[in-house]
Amino acid sequence: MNSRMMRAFIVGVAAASVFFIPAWIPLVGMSVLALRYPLWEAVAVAFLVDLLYAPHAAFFGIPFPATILMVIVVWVLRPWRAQLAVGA
Amino acid sequence: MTNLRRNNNQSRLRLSFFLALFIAVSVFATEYVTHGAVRNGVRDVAAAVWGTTQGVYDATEASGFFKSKVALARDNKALRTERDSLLTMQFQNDVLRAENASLRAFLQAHEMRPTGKIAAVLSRPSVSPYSTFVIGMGTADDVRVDDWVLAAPGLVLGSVQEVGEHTALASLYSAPDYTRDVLVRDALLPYVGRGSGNGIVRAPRDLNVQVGDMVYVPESGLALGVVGHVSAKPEDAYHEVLIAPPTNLPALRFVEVVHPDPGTVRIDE
Repeated sequence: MNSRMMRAFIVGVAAASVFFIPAWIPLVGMSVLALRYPLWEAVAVAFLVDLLYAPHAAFFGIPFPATILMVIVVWVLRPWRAQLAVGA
Repeated sequence: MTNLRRNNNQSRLRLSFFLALFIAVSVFATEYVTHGAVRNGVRDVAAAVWGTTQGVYDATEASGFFKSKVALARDNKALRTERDSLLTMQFQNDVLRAENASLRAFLQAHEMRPTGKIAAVLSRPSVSPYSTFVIGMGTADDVRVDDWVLAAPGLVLGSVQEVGEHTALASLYSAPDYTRDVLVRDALLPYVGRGSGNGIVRAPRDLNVQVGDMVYVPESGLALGVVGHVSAKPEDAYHEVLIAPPTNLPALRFVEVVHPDPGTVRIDE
């Protein structure tokens, strides 16, 4: 299985799992992977969680909190990804 | 060549960032203009996914395909025991109802218990990180924002937050940092949600709150939960009281959706 297929498989499993298991599990898993790899699909999974479960002003009045948090993990922490990579 | 490759990567990254930003702004703008149509559309599609998986699960369970004879016999015995205890509880319930009816007749009081609609629970409360869950009824069934969501008659779980045509999003009163006043032993106390169906109340020591005391929502008379634990040191002026949910949330399959009704009892003059 090449890396592209593996990536699609992981994203597919994460997106499907938000329907059935506590959503923080795939979100944490995607966050950990996003710290190591450029995983923009994690933002899409977090957005799906917010669309399904977040009320209009979900987290202290902030809309789409999981999405915002994942954007921070994927993009804002991007410069530190190289330092976190082990053997990369 | 290395610089060229680096510049290409950076411009590709910049392009993908702006593309993502454009998509995000478009979706947010659509959400704002249509008052949540994107969310409701996604939930309607998700409802089909949940309904299909639940059907497959129920059919598999009913067939007993993955269970051994020993496991089936054990389940059978457990279900018979549960049925017997439920029959006893039903009898006790009938006795209490009859007593309630005779008391109301004596007082010439009529109970105005609002009637509601039974809705299927599509997503379990434990799945959402926001203490919300999706139910399979919407505006097509006259579900409205702020409708009460009941686990059983007299037991309130929360209220409807958003409504689509065929689905609605309900929020639990035990959502983290949700606050409201509740009645415990006839005292009005502030309640704070802690998630996972639980909440906290700080009760004065003199109130003598006990495990098993019921907790009520004042304006509706509906029970919000039951006292599960009291953390108390003799020197404390206030006790921290843990409020447990009125039902087993992971096993929740159906709820009753009720329009809010001021008061539940009317005394005839």
